[in-house]
Amino acid sequence: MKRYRWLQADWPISMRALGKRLKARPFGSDVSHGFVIDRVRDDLLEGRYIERIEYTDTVTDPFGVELAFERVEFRQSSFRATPSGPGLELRDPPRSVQSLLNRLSEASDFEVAITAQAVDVLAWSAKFQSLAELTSVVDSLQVNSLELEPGIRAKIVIKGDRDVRSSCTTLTGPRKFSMEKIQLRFTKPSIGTIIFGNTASASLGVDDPEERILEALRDSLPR
Amino acid sequence: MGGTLAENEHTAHQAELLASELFSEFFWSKLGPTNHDWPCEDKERHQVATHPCDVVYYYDEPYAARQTYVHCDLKSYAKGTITAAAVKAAVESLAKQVACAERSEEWRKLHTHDNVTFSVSGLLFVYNHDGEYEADFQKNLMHIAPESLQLPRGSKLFVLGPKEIFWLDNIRADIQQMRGKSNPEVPAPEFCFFFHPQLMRRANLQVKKAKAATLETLTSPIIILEHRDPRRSHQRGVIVFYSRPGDTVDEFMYLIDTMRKYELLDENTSVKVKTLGASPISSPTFQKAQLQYIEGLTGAGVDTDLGEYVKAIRYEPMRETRSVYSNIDLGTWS
Repeated sequence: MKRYRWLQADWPISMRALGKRLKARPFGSDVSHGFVIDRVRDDLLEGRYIERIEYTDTVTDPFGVELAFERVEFRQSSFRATPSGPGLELRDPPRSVQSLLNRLSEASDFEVAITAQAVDVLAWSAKFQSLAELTSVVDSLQVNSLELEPGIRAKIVIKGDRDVRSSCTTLTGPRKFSMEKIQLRFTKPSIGTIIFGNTASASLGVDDPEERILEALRDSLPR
Repeated sequence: MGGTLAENEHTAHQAELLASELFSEFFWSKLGPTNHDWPCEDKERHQVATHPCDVVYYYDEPYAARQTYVHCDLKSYAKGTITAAAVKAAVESLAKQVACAERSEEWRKLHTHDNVTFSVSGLLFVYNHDGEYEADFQKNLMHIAPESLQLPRGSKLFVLGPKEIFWLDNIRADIQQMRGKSNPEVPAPEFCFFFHPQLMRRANLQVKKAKAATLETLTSPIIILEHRDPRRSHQRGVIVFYSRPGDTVDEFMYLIDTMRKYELLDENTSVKVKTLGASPISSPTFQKAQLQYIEGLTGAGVDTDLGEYVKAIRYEPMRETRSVYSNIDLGTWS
């Protein structure tokens, strides 16, 4: 399962200039965090932000003796910056990406505003279905804040062996709700799923070696 | 001509000459200087100050509106010097070169067009100049762990060994031979292009512009040259170069079916299948496959249009040609 998230970023500098600035903050054996640039073009920059995290793991044995182990972890955040579209794509991001966003902001002299995107997952998935030319069906939905009565809300997951959208409409009726996630299941020849999230995130559980599905996801993302 | 093995200047030049003749026939173009060094972008990890560059070719991609730049490392080895260690070192070095080319301003200025969307691929070209290497070259690649190559995600690296180069060189020679006959079977290059089918999920976007054989085509068992002869009111002809042994009927039935799916079989197209060093019984096997395929369409004794097109496919094993260069001659005339 590969996870992607898109954030709105309007870069004040060209991708090549951004590449040069990030290259001046490289990750290496003597620093605790920095960038590795993988690919630079006029219209995109791909790279990774790597953090080296060192900590001491303490374990107490059955007799109360403390054992300490030095641990080292590397946290990588792959990203793709583009001057058009959402501006920033994160691939398999860690739980917190604040550090990456701070460093990117610092590299562009704090002139870039990186903001979260809220998208309509139904519109996104429908556009994706028409672009990707793959047979797929919406077999799962997650609805949040469904107002049952004033002040009483429900969070519901609807699953089925066929398209569940009409059942969802029947269930929600005229009530207020927010559509949080939607799952598309591919039928042959591609087998797998994509989960669309309303924070402009997507989880791909489908083989996509040439990233054509990913390309369709980017192109169908509501602006 | 970077390499870890001892190569004398003229031996190294042999690979360069062969690659130049070979890839121009497949419609690849050169861009930028050859045999130069350019600064490494990641000196700490790569442990070098500069990377070598033998030559960079480019071609238009049929399935995407972009160009592919092929950063080549051309090696010319004698039989005894093609070892797993040498190949591994060459592959690892090439991977680093490709990783740096992806982000180097200098490499981009020297080797790419402005305002073009492109991708960079690496090609290790291992030419056996004494022609005596007979072992399975691909075994040398089995011990290379992909994760040990410091390639960026999505980058591709191709390796052509002695056998693959021999096959491609024979295709080149065969095309030139057919073109040079008193009654040419293949028209001039401007009327030829390599065929890339319309696929289920990938459209060939640049049928006219993307004439070149892609790296994927060159490393596949079927390479198809399409031509439109201007002297015969642009009649369509296709030559299917097939690298497999051709010793079973099923294999050829699959090939015929592939041609049908690619829409190469019709009344206005002449189709010729060519093999190299195929099984001694490949001709009768192909004939049998044609008959079985026709029978499989509607049963015996029923004539169909498609059956006629299948019957009209010509099969012709190629004559082996080996390009041999002399270091003395190269040293005398260069």
